[in-house]
Amino acid sequence: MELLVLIKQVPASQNVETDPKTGNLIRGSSNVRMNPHDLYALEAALKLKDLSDCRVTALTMGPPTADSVLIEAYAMGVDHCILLSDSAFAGADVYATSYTIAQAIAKLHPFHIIFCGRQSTDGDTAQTGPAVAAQLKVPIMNWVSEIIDANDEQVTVNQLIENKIYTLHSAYPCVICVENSIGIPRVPSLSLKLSAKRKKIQRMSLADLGNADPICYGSSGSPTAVRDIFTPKPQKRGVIYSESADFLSKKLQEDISSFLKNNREEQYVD
Amino acid sequence: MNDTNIINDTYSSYLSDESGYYGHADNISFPKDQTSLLQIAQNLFDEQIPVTMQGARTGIVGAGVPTKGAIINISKLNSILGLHCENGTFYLRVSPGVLFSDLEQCLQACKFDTKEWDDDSQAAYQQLLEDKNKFFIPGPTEKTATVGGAFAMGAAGINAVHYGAFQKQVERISVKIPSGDFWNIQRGEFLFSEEGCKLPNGKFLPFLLSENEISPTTPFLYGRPGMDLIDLFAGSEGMYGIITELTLRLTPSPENMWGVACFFDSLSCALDFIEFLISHQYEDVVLSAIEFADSKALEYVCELKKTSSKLSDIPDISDEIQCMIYFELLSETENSEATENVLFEILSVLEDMGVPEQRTWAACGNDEIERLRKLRHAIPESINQRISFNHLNNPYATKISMDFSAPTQHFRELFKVYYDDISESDIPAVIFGHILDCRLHINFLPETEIQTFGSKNLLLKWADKIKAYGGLVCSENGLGKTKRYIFSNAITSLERQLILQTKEFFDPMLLLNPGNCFMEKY
Repeated sequence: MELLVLIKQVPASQNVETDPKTGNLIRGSSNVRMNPHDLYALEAALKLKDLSDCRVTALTMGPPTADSVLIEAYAMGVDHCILLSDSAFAGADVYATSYTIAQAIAKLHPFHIIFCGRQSTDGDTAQTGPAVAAQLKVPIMNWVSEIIDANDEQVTVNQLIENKIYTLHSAYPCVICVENSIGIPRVPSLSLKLSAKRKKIQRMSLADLGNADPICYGSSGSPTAVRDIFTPKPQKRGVIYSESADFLSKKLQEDISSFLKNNREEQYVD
Repeated sequence: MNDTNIINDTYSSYLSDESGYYGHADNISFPKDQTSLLQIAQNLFDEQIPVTMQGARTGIVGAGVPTKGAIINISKLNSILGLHCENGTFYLRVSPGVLFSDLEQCLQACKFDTKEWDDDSQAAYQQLLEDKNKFFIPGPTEKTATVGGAFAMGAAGINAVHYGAFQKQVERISVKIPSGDFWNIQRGEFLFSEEGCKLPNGKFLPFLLSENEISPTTPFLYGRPGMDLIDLFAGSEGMYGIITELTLRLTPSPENMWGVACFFDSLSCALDFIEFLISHQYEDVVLSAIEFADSKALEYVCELKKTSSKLSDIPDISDEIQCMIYFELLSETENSEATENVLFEILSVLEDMGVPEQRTWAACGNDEIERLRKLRHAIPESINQRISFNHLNNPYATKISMDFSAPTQHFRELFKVYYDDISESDIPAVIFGHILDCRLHINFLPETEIQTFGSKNLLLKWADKIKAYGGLVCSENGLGKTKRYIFSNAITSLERQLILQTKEFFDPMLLLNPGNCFMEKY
């Protein structure tokens, strides 16, 4: 079985700067890491590999320095890595990113399952996995908390929505976006960690894709315009009361009523 | 008195710490700056009220737990005050309540809140930004500890053999003495001679024992020739003065750093592996840490993992595992090849020992290594959780522990003694800790009064053995209130007299941190 895992390099810190003109994240080569949610996607694929005869490929789209996340993927145990990198891809939104990845996948051998993490910690949209599925016109299963079975015909998973678990089946190929409850990502073994750097990374650029028209990629292929990305400042502080239980129960009641009232009003305003 | 609160339900948690030891106090203060700390301390000294200094309450011997009087909690004294550069070395001036985690975050991002910094500090900051190195401060593995607390307790950390204990990173301290003096002590400025040590106020702390009367096995609670006055305050558990500021030396981060956890299904195999590690020396590559955890320690961590979100990224550990050896290698050379070659050699040894590939976990660089260190550091916390759980059903359930140290070459004999005696006594016990210097933490978890008595007797027996090897009966974490009994038994009456004289020299009214290291009177 052929498995593909989509991974991404993201800023290691939440205090990232955005370009004031484009609204895009400024991605330096230092202080970057693999998107933590993608580690779970890798783990899901590697678990299948532990149980059956699977070949796992990891693919990332990003600058040349993004190869560090692929080395990490090799260290975890994937069999092959691909870096999708071209200056024409820079500034891509979810649409252009998913289009680019889908174009690359179309050029590779067929995959049974394409794994994605829940979301990235920089873009935070949780849309790229479903968008890739849409571009490829294959089924998508989101919020997957468990892979129950993957046989020659189909894959069966548990999907966690709110507090309910739904069991879903899909024929191949399909896209699976995993939840972090899928399993704790493994720590690389010493042997794999030492050999990871020496393994070959396949590189793909615009010229390798079926559609090589740069207008379809990167910022020019992106319908989204990001004005700004920021972390909302906390507005409220905790309060410590040391009064009697009677006082506290009344105060709590008042505060909850006041919160509910304000919250309701805010919803109407929106 | 400013920032002072009567102890009530809101503040009752400040009557304990991670040791689980409970105490008593009348009030607690949270000074926010040095001026307020000095004022509060002076008022307490004037009124002759005993005071216990308290950090982040991460201590495991109850040194920050009060027994009477007042508490001064330094958690709000958490500013990074300035930076200076001297002969190419950077020094950071901090308040004692700064957490290691905050320092680490600032140093990793090289980002500080410099609004209140003077011009010299601002200039040094520019130099730091332009420096090609990244910096860190070698310290304890407990990142939520305060620097003041770690200094007072003589905390060491897993890389102490290579970098020295945390106190060795401290270049200068400001300290308030109960007699009323306030001193700034620069490392190297006040050293103990054969006669004693001249103090910043011009007085002389006499040196009351001759060198041949000093046991090398006693912690540095009194001066000895060549010792720096800073190191007398370090590890003194707050008994001699209140540290109000510290200046810390920054160490360039190593270019290459690896951490590897190896899981063994037999203790003898693990000991052979340790033997291999310590008997080999490599050019340009330093073995900076070797840590040990036995099967019980790993079992308790797995239990803690079920409820602790901070361990959520640690994979499960098989029940078949008998022990873990975790080691760290570092190299200052830019080329990673030397380190990797050493690791290939170690890998080949592990393969020859039949350790399966998936039973080694490897990490490279600070962020990855932190994941493995979390596993190591969760061990004492997991033991304390188990004790609390046991105590719910059994009032006799407690923890009796000690952290001995001895020259590394004795590790096999010590393991044999520890495990033979534990097995014979049938008292539940956990062993983990540092192999280099045999700084192992031995924790008994007795469940009956007889087992408690037996645990203490074994520790006393081992203390004699440790002294015979030229080791220390207390190597880190301090004595506080929970380990003082063994200390009292392990030192000579002359040493005891000297420590008491030192205490009374600085604190004649015995107001500071009552009960630490000695019985309640002190």
